[in-house]
Formats: sequence, structure tokens, C-alpha cells
Amino acid sequence: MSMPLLSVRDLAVHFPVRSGLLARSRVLKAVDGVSFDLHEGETLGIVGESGCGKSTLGRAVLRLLEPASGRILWLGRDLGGLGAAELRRQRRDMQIIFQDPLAALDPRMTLGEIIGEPLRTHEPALGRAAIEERVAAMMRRVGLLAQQINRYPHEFSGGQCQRIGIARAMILGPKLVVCDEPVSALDVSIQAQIVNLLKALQDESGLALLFISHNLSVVRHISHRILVLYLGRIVELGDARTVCAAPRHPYTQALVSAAPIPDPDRERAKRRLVLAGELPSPLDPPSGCAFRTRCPKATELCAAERPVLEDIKTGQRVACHHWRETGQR
Amino acid sequence: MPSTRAIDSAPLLAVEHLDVSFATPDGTVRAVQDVGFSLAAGESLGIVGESGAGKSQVFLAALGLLAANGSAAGSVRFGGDELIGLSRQALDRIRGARIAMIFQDPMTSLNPYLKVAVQLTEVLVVHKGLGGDAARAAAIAMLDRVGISDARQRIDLYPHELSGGMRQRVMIAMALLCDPELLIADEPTTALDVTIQAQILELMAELRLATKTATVLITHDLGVVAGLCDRVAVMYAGRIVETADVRDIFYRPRHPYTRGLLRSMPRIDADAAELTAIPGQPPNPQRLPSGCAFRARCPHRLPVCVTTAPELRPVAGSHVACHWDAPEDAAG
Amino acid sequence: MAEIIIQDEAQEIEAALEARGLWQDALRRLARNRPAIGGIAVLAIIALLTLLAPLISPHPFDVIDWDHIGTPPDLAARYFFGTDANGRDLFVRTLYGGRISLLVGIVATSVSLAIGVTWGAIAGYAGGMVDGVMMRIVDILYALPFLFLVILLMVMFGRNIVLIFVALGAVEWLNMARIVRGQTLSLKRREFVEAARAGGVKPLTIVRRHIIPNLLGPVAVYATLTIPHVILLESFLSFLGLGVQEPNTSWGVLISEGARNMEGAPWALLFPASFLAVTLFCFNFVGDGLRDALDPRDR
Repeated sequence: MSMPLLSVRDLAVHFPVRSGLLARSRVLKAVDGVSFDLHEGETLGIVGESGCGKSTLGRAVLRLLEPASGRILWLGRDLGGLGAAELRRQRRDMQIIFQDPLAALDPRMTLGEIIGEPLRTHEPALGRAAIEERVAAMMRRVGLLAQQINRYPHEFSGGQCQRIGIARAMILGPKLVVCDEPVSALDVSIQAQIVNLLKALQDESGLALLFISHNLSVVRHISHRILVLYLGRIVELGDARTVCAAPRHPYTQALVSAAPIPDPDRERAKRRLVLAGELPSPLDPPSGCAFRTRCPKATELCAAERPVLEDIKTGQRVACHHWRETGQR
Repeated sequence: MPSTRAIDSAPLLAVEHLDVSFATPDGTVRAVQDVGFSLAAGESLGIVGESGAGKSQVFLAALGLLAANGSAAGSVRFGGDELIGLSRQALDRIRGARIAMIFQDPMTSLNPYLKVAVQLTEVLVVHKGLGGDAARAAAIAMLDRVGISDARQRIDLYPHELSGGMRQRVMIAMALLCDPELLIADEPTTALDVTIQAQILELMAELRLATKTATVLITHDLGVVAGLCDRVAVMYAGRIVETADVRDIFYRPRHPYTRGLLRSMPRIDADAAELTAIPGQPPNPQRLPSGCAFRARCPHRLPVCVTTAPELRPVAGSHVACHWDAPEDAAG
Repeated sequence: MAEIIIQDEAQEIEAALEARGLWQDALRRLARNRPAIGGIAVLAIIALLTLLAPLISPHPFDVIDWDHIGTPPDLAARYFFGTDANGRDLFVRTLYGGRISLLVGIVATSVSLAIGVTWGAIAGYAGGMVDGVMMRIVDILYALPFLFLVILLMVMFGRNIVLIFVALGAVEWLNMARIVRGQTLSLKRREFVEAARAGGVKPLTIVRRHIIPNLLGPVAVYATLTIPHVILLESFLSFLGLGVQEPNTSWGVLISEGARNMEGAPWALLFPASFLAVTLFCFNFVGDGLRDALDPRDR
């Protein structure tokens, strides 16, 4: 296997939280020891529910948030060790698209200015005409009409705004694009358009995608591998189809069974694994395995020892003391 | 088990030729056009559509909850009584007691300044004339019923002290307290995490079997509808484009929009090499095209679609508003 | 299939031909606000009158007419507003005074804008220690008594109109900086700013290209409300005798003189005070109108 594009080891992102004037500040471990690799042309789907830290992880990988500990190797270099100017230069190869398509665009700039900004930042030698030409070409590529170049973001629909965001992210030909819930705010009929666009762009340029979403069905469709997060920790990591067809971790199993299937017979026939209880507070995660408070297989061992990610036969990695017993569906 | 219910007795809810429009500084916006459907007692109907389809407006109009610049025309008959144009007092007697509605975001539907107990008992005191203690006991029992553990303690909490899933359960409890004949749920699980959504949907399925309350489930999520509803109505740009039994909608969709939607949805249990997206985007409700609103995105459009908006007509057990005839093996 | 989509998109574009930026939208909304338009019209008239003062008025502003000392309005002698205690035509002096007052208002506000916006935006965007230090400086300066400062400056540099601009600007920028910093703090969190950071844009460039243009709305509103405040401050200074020097005058000076002779010659107070009051009202209407017009539409 060639060298991975991105190599994350034991990444942790902490937020200090002060409750009350005199209380000690506590630490919210939004991301707690995450490790994974991402290769060229690959899509890694990051799945989890609110509070799992997926958006935080996406931003930390790009150093938009400073990690508390851990290493991020980008193209073999330690991202954490880069100075501000060098980091800015590296940003031309690692981009991000956001969940709220309209909020991600400066309301006072035209489309042309928004999409052209990366060019002005990283290729200052380009003249106006050259910039406009490349912007127009990128707009056509993502399905926007070139004559809309002088319009403002608020004149466009959500799906079109997301295309603008994608055009801006893609114009410098990056190697990695972090997609933070890129279709969650869009209508169902538009979601497929954007997903198809991302896949097409990936096929053309061999770019790697980090696809963050709470919608497991979409993630399965677009990802090669899936990483499941719970309270900032990886619970399962593996091939997308395998993780969805035969999940080993109880949380993944619950997620898979909770995903609604647009098929009445199957949806009503499926055995729904309903989790007990609520998500614990990330400020005060349960001891040992964070999932044990809602897990049907929890034992004393789970409270005492935090499970490690282990490799299993099928190529998946699972963090569970009892994964062997959770074989059947 | 899904079944095709024969509506022999008078339907509980009968909507006919319903129009809802809004007066805006930029002109009149027709949010709902000529919508008609019926719902039998105990039946579960799913209303599916994307943003701008007008699905919520239909029921807001029926319950007299439209914004100040909105107006409704047409007929909505509930148990024989006409709701459109009813006086506020008469509507107040029906709302909460015979028809209950729950909304998408429980945080904004519950009063953040009042304890849960107060909001629950208020409904009982107003509509059923129960005294304070009786009302509180009934409220605690209902909270238990909807799966809130420690109901006796939790009832005295404020809404922000509860999680999203809990708040939605409180909303459901509030809705069911007066034993309504009809429950309207507007995107009840959209704002919830998927595992919590599973809990709430399980609860709603269970309650449906137990209470036999007729339910209308408004959502954009076809998967949710597949699990809970007997019949489904699909809306697009303010009109109903297809109404059918739940299995017909999914296995034999007839309207190109329904077919397109189903083909564009990724599934967790199946492999689709390519999602076939519906091209284009939903029309701006302020600038609806002539004829059929879907024609710009439709792979089967005919010349007549430009001039004439299709009417809902019966086709093999369903109702479809389309000029094109879907082939019999309409597996999509 | 693609042609169908493009055709409809083309129709959509024809339907809304001009690119409607947020400024154009705001202008449209402002145009519908009657008090604001009225305010703009009246201000324009007053500004025009003050500019054309030498052409309109029959008397020069600094010539003493020994025959008409402290006389009430006299249409025959073309003393429309009467004369002041020194026999000078009040009408033309009011207009000349308007020049100074308006000039002070606009220039001092512009100075405060330039300093305040830059200071506030940088402090707000930088955050951390830089922000702390910059805003503590503002706090300390704020605590200094304004009058003290002005007197100090006057003593050091003599009574000079430029000095008044500087002094007033130096006071007003503090408020502007605070407001701008607050706006910047909330703008900093918006996703398009994060997108710019993710794109590798340098921090100062982000402030210049993204933060400041998006602040201009509230800043414009605040500026139109600062102008009357500055004019009042200048009037206050003049009232105390620290303002413009003779024979130049401003509304503040005129009001001060008029107040002294209020019982004997009420017109000397009435006319300049009315001009000042009307101007202040108009600026306030325009400011209110701008605030309503620039309110972002609910999406």
C-alpha cells in the first residue's frame, strides 16, 4: 500500500469548560484518541450522532482547530509542526465544504469573487482575465451557469450554494476535501445531485474525501471505508459495505438498524435494535467503555477497562470487549 | 400489516379543493393548490414532500394556525364539521382536545419558562376540566406511557433540562393527554439523532396500535413513512401528485417525481452503483411555471404538460396527477 | 434533459436581470422609508444653503452694521434673521455657522470611523492578548475626562479648527472601536470566515476583505448617529468658549451668544438653535432608516 495521504495518530481535541465562577475548569474531550489513515482517491466516511465529535475531528485534521495531543501526518510531514505561513501554503491541497451552504459564502461578494478567492490567495501572479476564465470553467464543471458569475449568494438555492462551495474548494485541485455534513441541509432530491457531483469529481481527479455525516445510508453509498465515532472515540472502522452488512460493535448495529429503509416490507420486518437511555454528557463520559450505559452487552469489564481498537478477521477494527458475542444480526 | 382500507364509513378528515395563499410584498404566493384527500378513523397517512411543497401549510390552515398574511379557501371537514372559517372559540375547543399537533422542534414548541408539569396539566384543565391533582396524576401516567423514566421527578423539570428525545416524548404526551381523534405530527423526528428517532418511531408505532388514533405524519423522509404509514400522499409545489397505499407508493410508484425520489435515495441495505438524481431544483413558490410544476425536471414530459396542470385521477387503486401513463411494471 | 434545465434557468435569470446585491436591496428599502427620505432631503437643502451662503445672502458675514445692532428680523433691510449683538447679519452667520458645524460633524466622524473600525476589527479578530491590550487602552482612554483632554490640546496647540476635528475624532473613535469589535466577534464565528481561513487567506486580508465589508451596515448606522453627537459636542465646546475663533462661527457659538441675550433678543437664539435641532432630527431619521434597511432579510 502506498504511503497514506493523511495519517492521524491518537488525535485528541479538548475544550476547556468553566462551570461557575470559582469552579475548576473541566475539560470536554471532544475527540479522544482517534487514529486512521486516508489514501489517495479514497473516501472515508465518518459517522456518528450529535456530540460524537465528528465535525471537531474534521476541523482538527485540517488544523482549523488546534489538537490537544496526537499527530497528523500530511503527505508525510507533521502538520502540527508547521509554522503559520507554511500551513497556509499547504491549505491549497486540503479544503473543506460546510453544512450550511449559504452561511459558508460571504454575502457581500459575488460568485466570481468567492470562487476566485483561492486563486488570488495561492496564485497571486494570475491576472484578472485568467482568474475569470478558470472560475468560469469551474462553475461549468459543477453545474452552474457561467453567466451567473456576478450574482450574489442569497439569490441562489441551497443546492446551488453548495455547488458554489464545492467550486471554491476544488478550484486549486486539492488532494483532500473534508466534507462536513455537505448534504444534510439540502432537500432529498438535491442531495443525490451533490453526492453524484462529489463522486464524479473524485473519479476525475483522484482526490480523497473525508465525508462526515449522521446519515449512514448516504455515507455507505459514497464511502469506501467507514469510521464510527461515539463520544469522541472510534468504535468501529472498516470497509463500508461490511460495516453496514455485518457490524460488530453494538453501537454500529444500533445505527444500522435505526437507519430508515424506504421499503415497507423490509422496514417493518427488520429487527429494530432500540438503544436504552440517552447520550451521556461528553463532559463526564462513563468509565471504561463510553458506550456501556446504553449497551445491551455491558458487563463489569466494560466499566473497568476501556476497550482498544482491535483488528478482526474480516478486516474491520472494533473497540469492544464482547464483539465476538455480537456476531448475529 | 399494511392493507388497503376501504373507506366505507364517512372519513374522519376530508379535505377538498384546499387552497392556501400568502400575501407578500412581492405578490401572492400560492403555497397549496387544489389539495384533496381523506383519512379514515384510526388510519395513518403520510404526507411526503420537500421544502416548499406546502405539506405543513395544509394542516396549519385546517387548524386555523396560518400566519397573519395567509388565507385558506376550500373545505376541510373533520368528523362532519367544516373547519375552514370556523370561529376562534370553536377552533379552540377542537384544537388540543380532538385534534392534536406536534411539531419538529420541541424546544420552540414548549414554553421554556414553564415547567413540564404546568404545560401538561394546562391541557387537561382547559379541555377536560380536571382539577389540579387529578391532572397531575394523569400527566405522570402519560409520561410513563411515552417512556420517560422517573416521570414523577422529571415532570417538575424545565424543557431545557431535558434532552431532545425527551422533549419530543413530552410533546407526544401532551398531544395524547386529551385522547384526540386525530394526531398530526409535523416532522417529529427530523431534529433528532437517528437512534433517538428510532426510539420515537417505535413509540409512535406502539401508541398507534394501542390508541387507534388517526395519524398524519408529515415528513420528507420516505424511510420513516415506510415504517409507520398505511397510505402516503406525495406533494410537490403545493399540489398532491400521488396518493396510494404505502406498498404501492414504494413498489409501484406512478408519478415521475415519486419514482425519481425513490431512485435518488441511497439505501443502507442495498448496493446502488449510481444514484439517479432528479435534475434541476424545486420551483420558487413565488414563480410557479405554467402547467405542471414538475415538468422542468421530468424525463417523461409531454407537450400538454406545459399548458395544463394535471388533475388527480384514479389509476389502479392509487391516484396520480400526471399526463403520462406509467407502465404496469412501474418498479421505478 | 440538460437543455430543459438550462432553459428554465435562463428564464429565471431574465426574470431578475440586474444582480441584486445587498446594498441595492437596502437602498430600495430605504427609499420606501418616508421619514428617512424626508431627512435626507432636508439635510440636502441645509447643506446646499450653507454651501451657497455667499451667493444667497445680501450681507457679508463679518461686517458690522452700526445702524442695526441687535435688531429683530427686518425684511426691508434684508436682515432675514435679524442681527446679532455686534450688528452682523444673523442669516448669513447661521449659514456660515452651518458650514463649520456640518464640516466638523462629518470630518470628525470620518476620523473616528477610520481609527475606530481599524482598531476594533483588528482587536476583535486577533482575540487573546492583542484584543485584551487594545481594548484596555480603549477603556483607559474612555475613562479620561473629555473636556480635560480638549483643554490640554488647546493649551498645547492653540485654538485651531483642525485641532477641534482631531479632538472630537479622538473621543468618538472609542465608541466606534467598541461597537466594531463586538460586530467582529460575531462575524469571526461565521462559516464564510472559517472558509477563508481554511483557504489559507492571511488574517489581515480576512479582516480587510471579509470582516470590514460585512460590518459596514451597522457602522454606517452608527456613523449617521455619531454626526449629530459630534455637532453637539462642538456646540458644547463653543458654548464654553473653546470652539472656533472669531470671526468664524458655528451653531454652537451662535447659540451661546444667543443664550446670553435670550430675553432681549430671542431671535438670536431661536434661528441657530432651530437649524441645529432640525439637522439633528434629520440625521436621526436617516440613521433609523438605514438601520431598518440594512437588516438582513430572514432566510
